[in-house]
Amino acid sequence: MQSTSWKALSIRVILFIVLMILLDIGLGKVLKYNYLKINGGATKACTYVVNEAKDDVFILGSSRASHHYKSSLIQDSLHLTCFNAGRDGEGIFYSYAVLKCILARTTPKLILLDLTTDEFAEDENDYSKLSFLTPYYDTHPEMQPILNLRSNYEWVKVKSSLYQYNSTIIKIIGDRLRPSAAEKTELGYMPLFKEYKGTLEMADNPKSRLPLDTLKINCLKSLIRDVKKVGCKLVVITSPVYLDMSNCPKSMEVAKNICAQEQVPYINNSQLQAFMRDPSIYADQYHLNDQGAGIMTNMVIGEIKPLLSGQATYIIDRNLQTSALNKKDTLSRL
Amino acid sequence: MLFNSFQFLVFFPLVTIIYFLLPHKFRWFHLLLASCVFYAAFIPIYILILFFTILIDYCAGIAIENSQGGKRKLFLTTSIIANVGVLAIFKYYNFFTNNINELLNQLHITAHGLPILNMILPIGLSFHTFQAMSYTIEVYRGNQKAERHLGIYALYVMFYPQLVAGPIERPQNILHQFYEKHSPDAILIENGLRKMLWGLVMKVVIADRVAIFVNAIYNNVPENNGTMLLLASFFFAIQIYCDFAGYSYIAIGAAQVMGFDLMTNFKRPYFSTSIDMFWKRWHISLSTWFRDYLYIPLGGNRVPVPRWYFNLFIVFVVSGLWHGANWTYIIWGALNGFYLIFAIVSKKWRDSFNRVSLISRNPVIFKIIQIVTTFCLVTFAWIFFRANTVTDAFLIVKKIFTELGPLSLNGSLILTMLYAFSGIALLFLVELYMEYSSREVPLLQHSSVYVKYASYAVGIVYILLFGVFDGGQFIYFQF
Repeated sequence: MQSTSWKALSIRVILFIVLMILLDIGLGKVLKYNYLKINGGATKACTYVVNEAKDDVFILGSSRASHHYKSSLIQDSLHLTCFNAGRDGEGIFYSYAVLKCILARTTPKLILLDLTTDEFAEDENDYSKLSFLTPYYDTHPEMQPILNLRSNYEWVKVKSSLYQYNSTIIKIIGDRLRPSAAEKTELGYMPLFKEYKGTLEMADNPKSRLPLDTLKINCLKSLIRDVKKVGCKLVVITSPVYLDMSNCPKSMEVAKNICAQEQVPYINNSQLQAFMRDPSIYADQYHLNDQGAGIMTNMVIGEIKPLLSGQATYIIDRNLQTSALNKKDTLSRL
Repeated sequence: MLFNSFQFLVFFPLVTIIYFLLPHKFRWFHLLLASCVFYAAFIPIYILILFFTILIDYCAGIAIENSQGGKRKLFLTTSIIANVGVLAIFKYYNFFTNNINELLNQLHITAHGLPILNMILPIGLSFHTFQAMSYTIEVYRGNQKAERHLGIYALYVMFYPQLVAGPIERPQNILHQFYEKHSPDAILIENGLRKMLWGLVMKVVIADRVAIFVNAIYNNVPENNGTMLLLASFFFAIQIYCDFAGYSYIAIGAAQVMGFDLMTNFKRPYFSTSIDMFWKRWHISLSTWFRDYLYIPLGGNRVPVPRWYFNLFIVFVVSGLWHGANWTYIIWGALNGFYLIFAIVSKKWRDSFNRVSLISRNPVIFKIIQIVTTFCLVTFAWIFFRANTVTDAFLIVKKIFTELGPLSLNGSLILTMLYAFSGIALLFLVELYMEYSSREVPLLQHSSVYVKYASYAVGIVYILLFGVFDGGQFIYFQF
């Protein structure tokens, strides 16, 4: 090729790179503006928790957190402001990242952390699900070490503004054009209204057969230490499932042991008989519906009240083998 | 190293720049070293298997050329046994052992079963083994001179763009290219980068996106109804094409940037009007390998008709087994063999039907019907290819035909489906354009510089916004 062609090509390539950088910055800003303007659903709730929430009580966890804890009931009963920061499909990494942002801004009075029955199973997908938080990467350095777990070169990839909004564009367009179509939330709580029709089965989640992820386990330890360091109270809970979990105790055992070591109450309600009798309080095997969430939230309120009123030591001092609470009292309340 | 990884984004330009900066006599060594680094990024120790087959085939090639009569055959057989032996140990040993142990169990022979080896299949083993075998066979046939330069021969087997998933090259096409001095050519570089960009769109934006849906459904067959399984099967047909053709585009493009010309591996196979045409457009380098080294030596179609059918069937069964040591792949291969034989047997009836029916009078509609029918047949066979077990595969087929129901999609699956359909629509339009025009990829090859570069920019933006960056490896790496 002649030298003039090379010169022309070089100029084109340089111009192209400049154009790409400008496009990345420009489009990134447009997406950021629209993303932060989303006025409803899980995105709005996430933006609120990450950027501005200063509530007294936060609920952290996965879909089971977001569908099981009615923030308004907690707020009314405890006379404390409460926000449910659980999110569908997420796990301990998401909870920790969100908590880092909360603690950088405020010190809540109480954190309720809901762990799933297979919370610590080694699953690569759980890392990629952190993508929900990449739009906040630049503005929240405190969560960056957790988001960098997604891949070895995540810190380089997020230099692209467009990458930060990867796989969000349909959601942004949908929620901006039709805010009413976004998920319904009440202080972060997302009610489900279906009724599960199936029967009680043995749990057979393939996740239960996976080895445990030490990074996730260490993440829970770090989360507990960070909460304790700021003097906030923490209760770790595994909420009910409509499954016989006797074959899949691995993750719950780990949670129980860590909480015992760290002197934090762990309430394993996954197999409470009262919740195993009636499938109609569930939307599916892993999620309570709105009615079930109401019962479950009231039960939890009853369980945590002693903790907040200064009678906490009895919970911490008790043998934490299954639940820190008196099951008879709990069941009689249901 | 994966083409869709961040490491490759650094590796590729670095290797290419150094390649052009180096004097010609050192380039083979540079490429060989780069290929070793590329392969060692997976499981370093397995590079020893490659070295073993390279040494055997290098010596066999020279020995074949220097020998006469029966000795030539002996050296060829030795080389083939060594290559097939490596495949047998690393890829098929556990499969056959499991089946033998199962058979012994069924016969109530409770003696100790054969031991199972605990090892991971070396990446792309079937690809580089077949490429190595094509070298010794071509030397034996006198179509290729034996390569005396061990480094160049090693590069023939290990050339990184096509090392782990093809195209499976023939020595006549690629060996001489390692001796040629390639100067940087702006047109080739641009063409190569364009192919890589389109390949990346196919892999990251389409294949890895639909894979989320496919995995969610296929890994939980009992919980899903026939409609969900049908949709997942359609998506898998798209996934495997975009995954593998995307890989091939990147491989061919990466080689082209350095001045190498690799063979075309895909020619829009889903626009095929028959199964026969499909196999002339799908994984061309493997299809032609089986044609040249198995089908024709078996007698091809120049034998009595029953034997011809047998040849066709056996080639497809072996092709299935080549893909993986599992009954699902064997059934997939057998099904494709059956399709082809049925197409031959039924040709007269179909022609008669087409003549009397009204359909054939409208060539456009007739062609669309042929394309859709071929696609449905191929997709049906893919069910066996993708299913985790044979039981799963038959359950999927049963549910598709008997348990159609409403789509049960949660929020994330709906979003995945929307992204997937937007990607599939793009793919369809691009392939339609390519099928009926002489251009490679529309807009990316436009005569206006502005349109062309704008389309490059859109391509990159599209990958950044819609790509799946945690999609993992290519499906065909496991073969």
